[in-house]
Amino acid sequence: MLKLNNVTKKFGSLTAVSGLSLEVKRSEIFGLIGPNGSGKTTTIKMIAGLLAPSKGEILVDGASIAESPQDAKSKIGYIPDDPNVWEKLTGEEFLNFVGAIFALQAKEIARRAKELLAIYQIENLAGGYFGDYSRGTKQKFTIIAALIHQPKLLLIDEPMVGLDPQSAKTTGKLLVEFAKGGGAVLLATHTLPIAQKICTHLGILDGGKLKVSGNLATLRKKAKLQEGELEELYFRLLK
Amino acid sequence: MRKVDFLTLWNSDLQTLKHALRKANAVRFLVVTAFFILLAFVALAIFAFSKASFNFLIREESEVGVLSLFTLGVAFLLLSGIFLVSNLLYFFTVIFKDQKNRLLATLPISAQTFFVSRFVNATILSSWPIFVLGLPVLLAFGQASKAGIGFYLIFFVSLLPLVLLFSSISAIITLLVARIFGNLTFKVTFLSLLVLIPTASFLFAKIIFPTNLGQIFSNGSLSARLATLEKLAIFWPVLPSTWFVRAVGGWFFNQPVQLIFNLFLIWLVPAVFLVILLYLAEKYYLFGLQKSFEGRLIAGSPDQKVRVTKSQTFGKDPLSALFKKEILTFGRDAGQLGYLGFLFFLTLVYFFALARVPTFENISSTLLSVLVAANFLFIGYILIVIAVRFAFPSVSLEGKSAWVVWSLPVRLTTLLWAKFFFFVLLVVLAAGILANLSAALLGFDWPTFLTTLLLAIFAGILSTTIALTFGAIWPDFTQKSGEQASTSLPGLLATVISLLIISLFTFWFWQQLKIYLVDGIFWPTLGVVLVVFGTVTVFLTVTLWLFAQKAIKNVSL
Repeated sequence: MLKLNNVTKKFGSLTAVSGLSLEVKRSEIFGLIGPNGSGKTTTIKMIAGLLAPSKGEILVDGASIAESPQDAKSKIGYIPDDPNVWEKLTGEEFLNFVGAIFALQAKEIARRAKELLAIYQIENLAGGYFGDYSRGTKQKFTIIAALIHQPKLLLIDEPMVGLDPQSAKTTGKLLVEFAKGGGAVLLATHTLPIAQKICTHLGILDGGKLKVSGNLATLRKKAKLQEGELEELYFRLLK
Repeated sequence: MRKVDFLTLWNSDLQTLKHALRKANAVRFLVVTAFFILLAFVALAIFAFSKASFNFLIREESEVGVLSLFTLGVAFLLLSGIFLVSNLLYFFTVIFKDQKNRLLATLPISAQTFFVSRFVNATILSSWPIFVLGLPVLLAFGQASKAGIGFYLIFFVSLLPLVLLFSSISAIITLLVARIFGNLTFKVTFLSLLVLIPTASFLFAKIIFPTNLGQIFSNGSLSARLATLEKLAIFWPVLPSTWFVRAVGGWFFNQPVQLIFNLFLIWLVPAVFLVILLYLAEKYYLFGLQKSFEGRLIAGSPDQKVRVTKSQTFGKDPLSALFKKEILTFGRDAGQLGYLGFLFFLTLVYFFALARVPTFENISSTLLSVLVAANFLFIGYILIVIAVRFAFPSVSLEGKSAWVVWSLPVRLTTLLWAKFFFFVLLVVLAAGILANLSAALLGFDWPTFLTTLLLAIFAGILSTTIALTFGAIWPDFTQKSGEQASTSLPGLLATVISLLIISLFTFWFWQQLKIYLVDGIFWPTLGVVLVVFGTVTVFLTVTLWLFAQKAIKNVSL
């Protein structure tokens, strides 16, 4: 579903991501973890089309983000780390807008929005302005907007920041169900327990390079630990 | 602990400037130099036009007399009015909406000190246009009247207190508005402004032109005209322009008491206003700041945290969805609507004033040509302001929400097209209204009206394209205020270039108009101006649009 071939991103003399290659298949949840400045957000932004790679190729379900961006983006749902949307649109209008760009019929948008709003129990807030929402509510609306067109690939930067424990649990469940339905997920996070719980694959980025990747068992093997939580593996592998 | 004074706070702004200078390179240097050269051209053009006008008036009276002093007073008052109202909007942005306020408000600084730092910042940032627009007019008067050193001394002695006076009045109004409207709903505020703006503009116009100007510019005796002028409110003692004109008059007519008394007033009144301002700042500034931190200055009632609105649907294709998004985000933004209110005020003042100008049939063709050309220049100015204040920052103001469009399967050029259609629609609408109303008030014949209308539409389209292109080439996604974005370097560059092109065509239009008004032949006089300006508009719009489309594709978030 998602393929990165030797992707590099430079900002002037700074190399944020260097020769990154990875693949996320259908029904996989790939967790990107790593210290601040390791290139997680840059990687996700390049896949979402917000940044252009300096080198390398990104394919979403076979479509290149550089050569056919509209085609590639039509398969993506993107949830940023900073869920800011035009303050003077209501949550419902934001969903209507995103649905319209994906060429969904108004009825279809309303049906999908109703289903997804019910999951977070925020139907009564849909008529409020985005600028009036709390950070958590904004985050919920961006998650719903990313799912409204039933994408094939979900890109999430820090999915749980700002969410209360109940909503964080709901979001984790939503991602697992999305993957079970055949979708692929790439998430960047610092919340290691969540990553350990929901990710089928993990990759540790450090200094813009993928230091290690695989499932939890592979990571344990590489860390030469028979047991241990992801947090322990993370520190050992980063040494 | 060392006491924090406003200079310490203001120092952070100086550091920002120093940082920008340190980052300077050859390209930046060239852009800045080009900008200042253009600015100098505009100032020179204003100077030349003003000097020619003052020369004409002084020749009429054979010396400096009531007509030239009246014109100086009106020019001064008009500039002051524009300065005051634009200051008001700028102050609102800097005093209440500046991003730095949140951090500064958490520091152990008194509200007054914090306010003074913002006041100094806003005064400096908002006062510079008065130098480009105002100085050439006053210097032109000095040159035309062969005033000598005394005039320039009065002029420089008066400048600082007058700038401070208008800044203090703006800041006082800003504080009072925040205090009064801080708890009102948007609807009540909007309705109040709908009544207040026309009333204020009518009163302002009445102050500038209290009588039919036909009586002043008539061919009657000088003493009769002087008698009319003496009744005019321009000599109303509380107007700062009157003190200035009286001080200048005192110099010209050797009346030292009049000169000293008026200079004293020019210094005393701003000082009084500054004291009032400091008192109000201590009392109300914190309240206004807290309201602005709630997310808006015009707040709902405290228990009404999330205001529920009837949600809109969007079109079936990306262009109409983006177009609708532009309408909604623009139409619901209090800052944008506030500025539109300012333009509405300015336009109403202008129309109320026009209603007192002698009509088409009753004046000489020379004066008529000046009136028609000046009217077109005013329309062009309003259209440039709309373009630069609204279209230019529109890409930057996507701000932190830009990720939405950038990550969706829509061409970024479609976003640009949606903005282009929206803002062109706005300027064409404005051009139509302005051209029609001014033509009706001045009683234009149809060729003059048609030329004015079409030239205004071309000017609107061209300035929108320039503004949008510059906005797409130099977006600044950290900007939260359209006011600040439009006074950034690229914004000012867009203003100056648009102003330059429109001024050049106004000059040419004026020359051709003089011929047309004598001969009555539309082609090749006005017709040629129309064809050339139309061609230039199409050529520049297409060329700039290619740059804009390329630029937006390369924007990374």
